[in-house]
Amino acid sequence: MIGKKAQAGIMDAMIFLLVASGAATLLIYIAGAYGASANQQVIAIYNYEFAGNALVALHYANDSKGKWFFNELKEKLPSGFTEVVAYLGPGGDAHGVWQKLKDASPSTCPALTFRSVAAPDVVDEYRDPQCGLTSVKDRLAYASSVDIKDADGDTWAVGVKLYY
Amino acid sequence: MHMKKGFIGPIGDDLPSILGIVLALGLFFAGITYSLNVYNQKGDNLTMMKGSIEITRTITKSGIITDLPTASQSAEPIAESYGLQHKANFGSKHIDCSDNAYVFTYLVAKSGPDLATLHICVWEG
Repeated sequence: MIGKKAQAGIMDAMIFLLVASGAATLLIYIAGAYGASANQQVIAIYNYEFAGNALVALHYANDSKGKWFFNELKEKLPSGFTEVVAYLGPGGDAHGVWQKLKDASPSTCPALTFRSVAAPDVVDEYRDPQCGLTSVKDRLAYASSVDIKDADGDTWAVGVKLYY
Repeated sequence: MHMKKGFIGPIGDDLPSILGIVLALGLFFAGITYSLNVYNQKGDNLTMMKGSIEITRTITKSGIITDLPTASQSAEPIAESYGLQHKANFGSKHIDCSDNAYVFTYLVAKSGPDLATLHICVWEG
């Protein structure tokens, strides 16, 4: 039989064990969380870089008829988004350009976005229907855009967006 | 000497609690050591990823690559400063890289209006 003082000592030791376990668990959790959060930041940087580089590369691209991709977009934008869809879609002159963007993309669902400065709340997006994205609201995405002037002199923000 | 049953001595009463305290201390310091190791390992990984991003940024900065070996060579000083090696090629993902390399893909213009996928792999070495 142990004395009351010893019993109190054991109780104190158990409480200390509890506190020490909690502190160790917290430290391990924080160490893991730090790595995960920093990793996410680096992944984000890479995705933003991809989107920005892709836009620069698209400036040098020609469509299947040998015309500059961005120049043709400038011609088609005033006519409406359906013209752009026809240009980028299957059978369109720029479908090869779109395919190359898709093939290089780290995301399985890249998109080309078009937003007129005159109507900033309206964003048209061209992406593959096979992506299966019925709603993109609140979806994780990384994007970069560049301003161009269309044939009518209106400014459009043309972007590359990567959905996850 | 008058002995009670089960009475070892003044220290005897404290032995069970000492065991608990030693166990708790051991657990605590093991936790600290493990966390430090994880932190250092993540730090090394992050440095490698940061170096990788800087290398790929240097190679792809102009958006058009007319001479890939020269573009790849321009990233050599950065790779050396991080203790990394890198390789870049167009088209195929199966480039001759280390198994634990990071592989990045970019869309670039290749010698004019031709678009191509550029694969850059970076590894420690």
